[in-house]
Amino acid sequence: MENKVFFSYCLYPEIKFETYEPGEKIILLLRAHPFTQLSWILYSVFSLILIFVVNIIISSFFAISQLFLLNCFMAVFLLSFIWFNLLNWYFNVGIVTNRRVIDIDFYAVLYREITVARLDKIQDITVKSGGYFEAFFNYGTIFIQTAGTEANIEFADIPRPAEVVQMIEKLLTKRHGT
Amino acid sequence: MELSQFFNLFNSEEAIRWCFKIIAIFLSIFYLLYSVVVKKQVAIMDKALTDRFNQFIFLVCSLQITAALILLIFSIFLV
Repeated sequence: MENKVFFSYCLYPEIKFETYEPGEKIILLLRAHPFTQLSWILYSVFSLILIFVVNIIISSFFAISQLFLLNCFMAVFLLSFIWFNLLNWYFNVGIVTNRRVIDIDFYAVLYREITVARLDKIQDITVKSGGYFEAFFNYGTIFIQTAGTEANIEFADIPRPAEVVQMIEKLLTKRHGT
Repeated sequence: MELSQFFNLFNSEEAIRWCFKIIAIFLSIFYLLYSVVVKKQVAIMDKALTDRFNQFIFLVCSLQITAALILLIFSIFLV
């Protein structure tokens, strides 16, 4: 197992997933690039500073016990906000196996969507990576088009998109033998 | 009770304390419900994707529920 870019690009990961088929070999586990999570990290830091400022302003209006409880609430809500975003990042994954490509999405922690495409149904793979930050941190979005009724798959903001496409194409070549 | 007496009740420190307490209790209850829902959802996520960090995630979710309970107790008895 090899982890790169803060667990967002894992080669041969030791994981199991819901629709795992016996004998299936997991090759790649992908999450959004950590840089794309910067917005909520900055919000959290800003909120922490705001808590300190609010404390200075309101300290004279409340009793000590009230102030303590107010601080407990603010701290707990801030930590929950961080935890919620961390869970969102951690469980939104793309998986590439020797048989299939799987996209597991959790929207706002509450809604789950699992999209599966068999390798022999894949028709086209498109990489979209544009912009200063995408180029600098080497991340982008991959669209996988499938034939027939199988849903298309999107791996959003994943690191090293070109390498991922190469890997999938290698698997396709092996599978089709061309 | 006269109208002026009624308004004096709301101006008193005791009324503010009770308002604070009621809001704190409601927020704690909502937070407790939210924590339980997140834990249940994490259990579903765990089935969808089992990784070596999942035990740690369960531990943090349990801590979140404990924090919510402590907040509720503080809201009832401390303020």
